[in-house]
Amino acid sequence: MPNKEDIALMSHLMRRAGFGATRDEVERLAEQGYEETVEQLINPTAPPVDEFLLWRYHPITEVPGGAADPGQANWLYQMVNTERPLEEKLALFWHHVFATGNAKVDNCNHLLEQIQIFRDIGMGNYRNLLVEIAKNPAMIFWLDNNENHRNAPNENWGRELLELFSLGVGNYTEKDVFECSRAFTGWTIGAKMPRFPYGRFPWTFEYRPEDHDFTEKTFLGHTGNFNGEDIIDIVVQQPACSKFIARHLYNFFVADEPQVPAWNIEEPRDPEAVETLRETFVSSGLEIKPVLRTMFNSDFFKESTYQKVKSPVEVVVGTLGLTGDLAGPDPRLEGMGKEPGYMGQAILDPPSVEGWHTGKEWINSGSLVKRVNFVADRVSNTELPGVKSIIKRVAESNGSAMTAEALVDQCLDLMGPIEMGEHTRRELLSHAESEGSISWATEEDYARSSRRVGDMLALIAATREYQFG
Amino acid sequence: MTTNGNSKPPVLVVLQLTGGNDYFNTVIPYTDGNYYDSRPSLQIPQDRVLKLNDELGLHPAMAPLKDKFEQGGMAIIHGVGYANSPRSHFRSMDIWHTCEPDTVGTEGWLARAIRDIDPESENPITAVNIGQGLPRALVARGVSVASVADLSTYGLLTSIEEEAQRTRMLERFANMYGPALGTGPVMEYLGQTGLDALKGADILKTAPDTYSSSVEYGASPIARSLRDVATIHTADLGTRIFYTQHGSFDTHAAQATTHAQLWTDVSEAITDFWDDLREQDADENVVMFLFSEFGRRVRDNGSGTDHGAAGVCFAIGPKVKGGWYSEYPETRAEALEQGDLVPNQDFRGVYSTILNDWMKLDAKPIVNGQFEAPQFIKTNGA
Amino acid sequence: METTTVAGRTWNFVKAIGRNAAAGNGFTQPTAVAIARDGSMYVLSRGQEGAGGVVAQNKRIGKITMDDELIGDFGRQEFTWPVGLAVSKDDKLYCSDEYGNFIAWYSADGERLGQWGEAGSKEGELSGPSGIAFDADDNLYVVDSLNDRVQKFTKDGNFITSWGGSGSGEGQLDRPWGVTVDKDGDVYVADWGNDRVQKFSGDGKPLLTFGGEPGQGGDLKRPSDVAVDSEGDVYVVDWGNKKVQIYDSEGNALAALYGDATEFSKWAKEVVESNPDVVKAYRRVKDRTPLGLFERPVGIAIDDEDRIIITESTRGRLQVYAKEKNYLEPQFNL
Repeated sequence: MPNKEDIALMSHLMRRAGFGATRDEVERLAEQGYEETVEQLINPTAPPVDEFLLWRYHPITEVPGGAADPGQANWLYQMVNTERPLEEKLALFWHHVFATGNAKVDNCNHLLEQIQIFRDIGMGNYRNLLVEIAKNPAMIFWLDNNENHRNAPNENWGRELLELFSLGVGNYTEKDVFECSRAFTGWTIGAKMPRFPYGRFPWTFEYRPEDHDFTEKTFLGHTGNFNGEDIIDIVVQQPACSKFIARHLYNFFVADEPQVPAWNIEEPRDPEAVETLRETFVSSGLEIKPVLRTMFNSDFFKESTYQKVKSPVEVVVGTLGLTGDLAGPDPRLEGMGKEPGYMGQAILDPPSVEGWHTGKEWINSGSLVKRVNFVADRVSNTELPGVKSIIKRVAESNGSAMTAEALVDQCLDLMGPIEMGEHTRRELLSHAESEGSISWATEEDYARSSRRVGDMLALIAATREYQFG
Repeated sequence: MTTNGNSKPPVLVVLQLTGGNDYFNTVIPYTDGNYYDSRPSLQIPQDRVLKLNDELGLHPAMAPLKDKFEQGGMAIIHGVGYANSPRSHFRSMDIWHTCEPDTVGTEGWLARAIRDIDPESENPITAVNIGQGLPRALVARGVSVASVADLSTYGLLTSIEEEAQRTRMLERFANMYGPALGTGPVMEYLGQTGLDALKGADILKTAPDTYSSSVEYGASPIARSLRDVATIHTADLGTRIFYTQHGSFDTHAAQATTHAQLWTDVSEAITDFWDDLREQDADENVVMFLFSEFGRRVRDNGSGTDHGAAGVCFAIGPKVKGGWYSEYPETRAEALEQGDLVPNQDFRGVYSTILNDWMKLDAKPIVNGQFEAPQFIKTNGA
Repeated sequence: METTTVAGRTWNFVKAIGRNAAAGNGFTQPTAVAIARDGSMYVLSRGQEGAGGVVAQNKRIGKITMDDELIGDFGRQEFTWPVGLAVSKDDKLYCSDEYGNFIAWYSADGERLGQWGEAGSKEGELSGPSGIAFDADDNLYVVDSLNDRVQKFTKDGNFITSWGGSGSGEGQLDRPWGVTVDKDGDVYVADWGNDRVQKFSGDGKPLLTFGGEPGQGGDLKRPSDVAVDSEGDVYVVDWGNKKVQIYDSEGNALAALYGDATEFSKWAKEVVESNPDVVKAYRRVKDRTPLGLFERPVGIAIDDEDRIIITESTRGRLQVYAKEKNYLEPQFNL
């Protein structure tokens, strides 16, 4: 039997490398072993989510058009139902980095296509990922590279490639932006069949040599007749690049960093950890997988429990998984895709190419109400399978009667395990004590006590501590 | 405190007509041959148009608004939009919300207004959105807005059915989020935010108790939303900006019935709203503003219309100087752009009037520039 | 390829009908089609959930003619997940709801007359009823999808018999979807999860399998629906592969249809022509082939004249083919 620490560590890993796991699964994985589980997350053998099943019941989610909702539902479905959690979590990571929004692209099917790239090669070579993203129609349109012409360069993609996708502010000059942009002239999208009157058609990358600027460029100290891929080759060799990606991974998977635009001013909170990740990244030839392995097996990761404010997606997907709500096709799915947006993280529609501000900026009084209620609505619903199984574990933990303290501890354990500050814990305990002792003896007792567990779970969901993951 | 000829600060109610309202069939140039030629399937016969003057009239479903116009309390602003309309709902809505037609903006125009009105975020309900989520117009870092899907059930921990139990849990919530100094800046920030959320919910909860009205609103969603607006407004909780929306006006098909139903619902809800406010003597400090992200294509497609450019805005209220503003865009085929009416009034100019003349704020930094502003707000004492 | 000639049979592409639209002259995710007694057609728009306004009510049944006339639509807000359509001898339209676990029926002009069905897995109970089809005696076969079986009812919902069971063996089913009955009373079931179509006698005896074995015109991927023409040829909507696979009555593969609607339907044309920018955008497209291809074909029906009507959920349209009798092949060196 795995001990308490193993359980706590495994549930931490599954929250970060995925969207959380039920206690049954955490126990199974802890039994299997931590490093073994990390390997499994990195090299998943389970089949991908069966999209055919999704499309059969929700045909609108296959090729969503202008409205983001069906695409959001599609992705949410995959996040909830995936058996390859790290692959899906990493897709979300890359979506944070290469933030592309449907508000401008207006072709949600092509955003899903971009997310699929993240699934397919997001754990592979970062240089290849950059090349694929540079050719991705949604990205090209999002950052106007289709307006980047030989005789009229548009710098939007060129600038963001350096500022947000690889190096970070302060590691290149304005001249570099210009030269970089020139190298990507002619990287555009073919004319696609219009959306009227039959819906969305494929959109493909097109390289037009006649629109490419073949003259010499000087970029980050290198001179030559560079094309886009040459630029990417130079970019990824920069020390700033590996540090930038390492810090991104740390910020997303380990602990909240300041917002990205401040990174050239503020040092990482744990420079040594970022350096460890960076070294692995470089020595592996810019492969992501070895960095993930190093990270998840490191002490700084294992010691980082509850150091991050959960993103809205983590709140929604984690809660659905914990409670067993919305498994498989469901008429509520298409509405559920909008929930993270209500809390400030509309997936496939970030506010700008800078992506979302994370950490405590996820929380304001409006979003806090949504977060607390979303979780409380579900964990207090004693009919949901996940809640039922929590109740069963609580009921079986201490015989037919238990103290208020045992109730609180059991609930905290099964919601995490999560540790509360002394102040919060006192309140939870007072609440439980104010309602007397708990019995599971009779059917009536069981029903009443189930209710109390549900209410306690809701109260835990409402705490400050629970906003962290 | 700024006043507009009465003691209460100005309040703005924004009603967004989501989906792209068909300007051409909303304000109808009923003597214009181009109208009938380009609308073979969707033309409103001349005798059914609600005529406002010798050239223009309203859609027949808008009778209550015709009254408003004739009583002088409604401004109709023609040809509103911006250059190079992308004809995409989402992009266009973003542009209207952020005042950034050329780049992807992150701050909403009303969020910036809220920051000016309540820089220290003293009132968690300076702005209230009635609906799910937050429209980008109300989003900016550091600006908090209450978003109320349904006023009767708004609050924290609403799934706890037993009221006494919920009250006890909310007390715990207040204690848990209460001062916990020394727990670090993030926890302290969360603590304050939680208390703000609770305070906002508590304040809003009081509104329905003080509200009583003889006006019976209709059953449409927009009637319910505007009733929630009236409930909060008349409770005098310091809310200065209300936002709500109705739709979808995206009438690619079956427009004849859909568009009529939408305007029936909107017109009736607006009438009920103003009757309600007048009854409670709470109308004098309110201006209502209606917009849509774009107008629709001039030529119909057999049963509907597709995305267009120029649209029409309405401003309603006792302090609105009723009448026509800007001009109806030219309808000749050669004057159209991609088959659309061409905007001749920048939307940011319309916002500027609202911000400068009504809200008494400095519009320029909010809308990112200076634009020709139609003068549809009465000057003080008028 | 608008004409396909194989084994002495010829299929011609006739036309496209409809367009993507949440109301009026169009369909939203059309997933089933059925022929009314007067030759007009019912088209089911599966629609979507979770959207507002007009779109919130886009689940509906449209009644149209082969000449692109929209007679009307009905059933809005009466379903959660509508899926199958069938017309009885007395010209009533039946529609299944795989979430609500009921079968509703309507008069020919769209008046809702009633519904039956109980959720569950016992005999006569339903779990995810999807495809439905009448036999010549007006008994209704219901694909009871999540129970992996076919159930036979009177049209009033009295249970007659059932067969199936979960699995991939002969006679077993895996989330079956569409169904049809041929003129001999045999029943064809799209055995979705098993990538095949099974043919049963009217009382459930397995007779034949289509597409199960690779090479025998197999390679079906998650077939959604099936229909049989007057000569006994069998048309399987190969949903996963986006084609319609045609077999002879012995199960030999004959040909496949991939979609040919490169010309706009009448309703589609109205939209294009009222939008000058759309007209321009089409003119810059190099290759119009994708316009014609099936994009997620789902439902199929064959009328008395052996016209084959296929719904495409993503394109919001129908494509119509006709089986031509007495076809004369033009000379090949023409």
